[in-house]
Amino acid sequence: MRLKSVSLCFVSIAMFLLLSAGQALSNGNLMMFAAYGGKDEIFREFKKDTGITVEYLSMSSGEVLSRVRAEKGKPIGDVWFGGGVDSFIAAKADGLLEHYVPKGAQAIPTQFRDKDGYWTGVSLVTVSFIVNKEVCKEKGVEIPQTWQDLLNPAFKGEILMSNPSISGTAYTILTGILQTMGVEKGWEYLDKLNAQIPYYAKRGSEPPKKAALGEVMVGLSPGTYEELAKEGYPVTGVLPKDGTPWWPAPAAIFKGTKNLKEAKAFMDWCTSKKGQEILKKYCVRVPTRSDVNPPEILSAVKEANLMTIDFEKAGKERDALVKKWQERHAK
Amino acid sequence: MAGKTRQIKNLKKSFEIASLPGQIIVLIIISSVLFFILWPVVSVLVKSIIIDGKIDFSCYADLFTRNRGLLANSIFVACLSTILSVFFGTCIALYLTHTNHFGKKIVFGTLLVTMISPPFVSSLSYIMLFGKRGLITHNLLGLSLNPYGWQGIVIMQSVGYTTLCSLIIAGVIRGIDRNLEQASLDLGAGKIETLIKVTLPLAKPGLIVAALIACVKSLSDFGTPIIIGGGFNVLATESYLNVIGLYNLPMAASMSVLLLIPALLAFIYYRRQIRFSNFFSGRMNTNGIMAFRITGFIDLVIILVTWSFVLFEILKYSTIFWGAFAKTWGFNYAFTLKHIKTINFEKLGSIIRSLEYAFIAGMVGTIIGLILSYLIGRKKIWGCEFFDFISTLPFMIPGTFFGIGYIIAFHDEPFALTGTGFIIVVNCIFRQLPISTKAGLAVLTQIDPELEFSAQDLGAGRLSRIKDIIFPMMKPAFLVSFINTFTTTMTTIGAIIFLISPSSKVATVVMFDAIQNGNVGQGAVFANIIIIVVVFVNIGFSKLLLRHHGIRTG
Amino acid sequence: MYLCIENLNKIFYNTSVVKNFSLNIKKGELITILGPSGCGKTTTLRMLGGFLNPDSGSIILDSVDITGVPANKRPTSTVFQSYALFPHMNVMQNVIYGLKFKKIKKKEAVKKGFEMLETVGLTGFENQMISNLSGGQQQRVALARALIVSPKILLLDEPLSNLDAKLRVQMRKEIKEIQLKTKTTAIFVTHDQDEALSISDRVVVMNKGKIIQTGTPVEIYKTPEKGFVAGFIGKMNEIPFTGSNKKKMVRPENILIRTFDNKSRNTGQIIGKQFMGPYTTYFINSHDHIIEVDVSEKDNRNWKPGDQVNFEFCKEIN
Repeated sequence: MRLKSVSLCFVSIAMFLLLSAGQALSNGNLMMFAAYGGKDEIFREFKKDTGITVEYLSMSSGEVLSRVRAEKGKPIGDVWFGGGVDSFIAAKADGLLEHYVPKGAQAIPTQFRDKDGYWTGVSLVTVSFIVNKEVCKEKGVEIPQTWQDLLNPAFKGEILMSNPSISGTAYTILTGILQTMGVEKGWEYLDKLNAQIPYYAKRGSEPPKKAALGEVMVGLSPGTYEELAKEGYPVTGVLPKDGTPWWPAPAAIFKGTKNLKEAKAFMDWCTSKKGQEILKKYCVRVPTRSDVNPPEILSAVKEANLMTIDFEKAGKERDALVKKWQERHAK
Repeated sequence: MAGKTRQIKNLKKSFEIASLPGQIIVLIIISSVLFFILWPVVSVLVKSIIIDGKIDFSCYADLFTRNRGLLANSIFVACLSTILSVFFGTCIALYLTHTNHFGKKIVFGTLLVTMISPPFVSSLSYIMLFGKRGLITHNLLGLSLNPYGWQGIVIMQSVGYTTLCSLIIAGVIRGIDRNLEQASLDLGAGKIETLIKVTLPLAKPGLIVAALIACVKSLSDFGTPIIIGGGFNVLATESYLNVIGLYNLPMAASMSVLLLIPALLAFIYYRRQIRFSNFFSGRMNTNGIMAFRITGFIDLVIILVTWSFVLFEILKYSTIFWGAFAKTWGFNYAFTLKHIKTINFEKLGSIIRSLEYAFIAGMVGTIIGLILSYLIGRKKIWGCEFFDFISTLPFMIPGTFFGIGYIIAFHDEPFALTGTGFIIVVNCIFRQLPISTKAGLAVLTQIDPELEFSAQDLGAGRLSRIKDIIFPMMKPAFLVSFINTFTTTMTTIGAIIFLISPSSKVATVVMFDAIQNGNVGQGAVFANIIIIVVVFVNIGFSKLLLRHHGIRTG
Repeated sequence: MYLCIENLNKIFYNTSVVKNFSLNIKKGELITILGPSGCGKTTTLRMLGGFLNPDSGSIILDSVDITGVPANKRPTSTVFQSYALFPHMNVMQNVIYGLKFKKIKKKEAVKKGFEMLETVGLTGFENQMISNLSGGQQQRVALARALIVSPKILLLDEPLSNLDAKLRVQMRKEIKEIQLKTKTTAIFVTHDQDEALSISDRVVVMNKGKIIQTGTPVEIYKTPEKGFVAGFIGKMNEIPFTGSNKKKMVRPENILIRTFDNKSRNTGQIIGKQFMGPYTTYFINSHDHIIEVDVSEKDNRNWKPGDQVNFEFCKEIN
């Protein structure tokens, strides 16, 4: 008899929870799609300052773009935080973003934010070679310093890059090389690089991880080697001397969000001086605000030879370029 | 005799028509099966041929021309993994049933623990152990092998599916009438001949089911190829990328349909061969006679396979375990608590959410499954063969297919459910419904229909009969169904990764994130928490449910 | 009449399983339906119990037409061949299960349960699980469970067929005693003629869905209808009259074996014998016709196969 009432109790609890699970969507928290380091810590600080709870899902920008496109205007979340700028530009062109110029925008140079005010860059991402020092030493290969160095036969099958159709990093490399070397020479170079690459990783984060583990010698990665080195992996990072691809990591509000006020609060917060300091602290990148100093370990970026990239163009060309790349290089 | 069974069938038919609340329940169950199984499947089919409102087979044309290699790869890997895992499974099953060697408890325990297998970490531990700079291959043996490619996928998949294959095959072999084996030995056949000509053919239903499960799982596995496939791509991976990366639903849908074809063929073959329900009954048919003991060469093979498997799994799980405490995954194995310390309140929230979802899915799925089995097995409702087929569908369709089906089916109004936790729970419930239903049917066929008659005779209406007689007697089925649904919901990612939203992030997704962000140690912590929680809940639930069971059966 | 069954018919798959079954039963009677497997006796019982609806005909119990009433609303209860005891309940829970639906309070139900267990001789077993009971004990639980709801008709579906020979004899005696004590009207289905003859007030012999003969056990045994009943109840020799189509029906125990002499017309040769305990069966070949003769032990003179003997009929039927 007792067992029966216990199980009856279970059943009713289960039914109740099942119904309540359906309502989880509208609980007043800020829904975020994010591709950024140190999310937990950053959002905790944000909550401390504003009282707004953030719930997030990690997703690379390509994924977010396809999902928001597929949902055709039905907002999948409130804020899109971090990732490749090309996806933001494409999303803006499709009318998927909400127009908002955050309060801190004046302090951010115009090249780091959308001129029409649909997205705002919060930090700069640079592409670097993450190189496993130990394996290089074992094989007696010099650490590569330039894109041309990567064509060294010693690196055959030892370079990992992610798939440009998914990863913003990879797409920026693609468009950066084509824009700086010129279309013809660019593809020529990419064909040669393609011969060195065993396969294209399905996730942007895979190349540096594989390089750290020594599964490959070089991983093309956004961000820097310092965190991996801090973990204890024998890696170093190189900003390619003959042109470092880079982009501003943007934040934007999805069109049709139910939590516009909170979303705007986040945009204001992450472009504020305090917010930028916090972002810098938990995800080591160069802040976009001119009045916030870059992190010390990134001082090298100052001297880096940043590529000149037209992001508008990159965004517009995205679909065509990815398609062309898929036909030429997809493995 | 035939007259008698016919009589009983008629008796069943003439049971009184359901009362009103009963009818409502039946209606809800049936419509939910149609809505949450058939509708998503149909949606995928429709999506793959209707593009921009027109019938268009270009996706298929594309698949058969440009992506033909993908299909070949998928089938190639699935065949190898299936053959290997059934072979391993048979060896381990024979070790448990037909040998006298030591350590059967260790082997069985290994099987039970490895039923709980959080995604991705297995593949990561494989890289850590056997990678180019793996602990074993590089540090121990000084090799620098390339572990990426189809070989890696086949190894990981076949070892992974061996667990389930062993349990299924062992269950069937245990049920074989020992007298038949004895008869064969009496008639002068050797042990090997008996094994090959009597035991294994009698175990054929189990072998087929095991092969079917392994085959479907392999076809739909995208996680293993993503991590260790390297440049070797399969359909499941591509369809995953088409959804996740490109959101090309028509293409993903047509790839899924293609995956469905071999699964469907295998399934039709199996339906023609045997009835399913026998596998969950665990009926012992030993008649007190011991199984004969295998000796000689085959014995050696069995020992070798079994202990290699156990060793491999122990290595794998200790790697996962140690990964949670090692300073740097795959590089520095010094002890640290830093990964544990990163598990903060927010991260724990996802585990609690996972538990909540798994608990709901386990309870609700079990109830739906058992009611459905009652309707199919006892009530012989109108069209019950059709419902039987529909409720078996999720079993043979790949997980990604099921996930994609849910995005397509529940994306637009009026059924817009994507983005809710509800959709994830429902997905898990209906994905495991075949097991719940079959477990129910297996127990139900063993319940004498006269029991129900006698309850009715004493005045029990239909609901009282179900409440007092059927449900209490179906406890074993309840247990199987709950544990299965709970465990898979706790460890699944394939089908639900498409359905996750920021507010319904579950533990496996957080684990996946951690691994993606290079924080493998934290991923390992999550994997361990999942394993431990599931082991405890399963043991606790069994104890709770079978509290009085011992006295009765003893 | 207490129970009037009129023209019950049941057809399964175009086969008539029960044909025009009509029977009247007095209150307190114990009726046995006797017949070979597949004769329709169980189907008849199921229709009486409400598990099957007859295709035509009516069942009137205590002046109430219960033909279409479902089993749970019918004042009948059944003891099943398999006992159908609930394995997940103990003896007491099984016995008082039916009282739950009579809106009887648990406490009172348990009191009644104890009384009923005493009636069937199971005092002290109330907390046992069903699987711990022997076949005979299970049988008693099934009986107690059926009787506790005070059914107007108790239906017993081959209740003794799962017991061994000795227990079967004992149980049928007890069932009869309990039936008399509780003054229950009962219908007992069996294919065992000994059971039918020993406990019934009246026996209904069925074959191929039809009632062949109804009568007291003595009537059925002594004056069986020719053909089926005569062959089915006990053993029967059918001895042809010389020069006539008629046959003489004689039971084996009604033939006496005598020492051979030439005068008698009834002569034959012993061709086989079987020792049966209380009696011995001899097989006599008389004019190419085999006659069975049962000789009780005290009359047995140990004839041997090959012996020429005379025989005579002590009682003749028709």
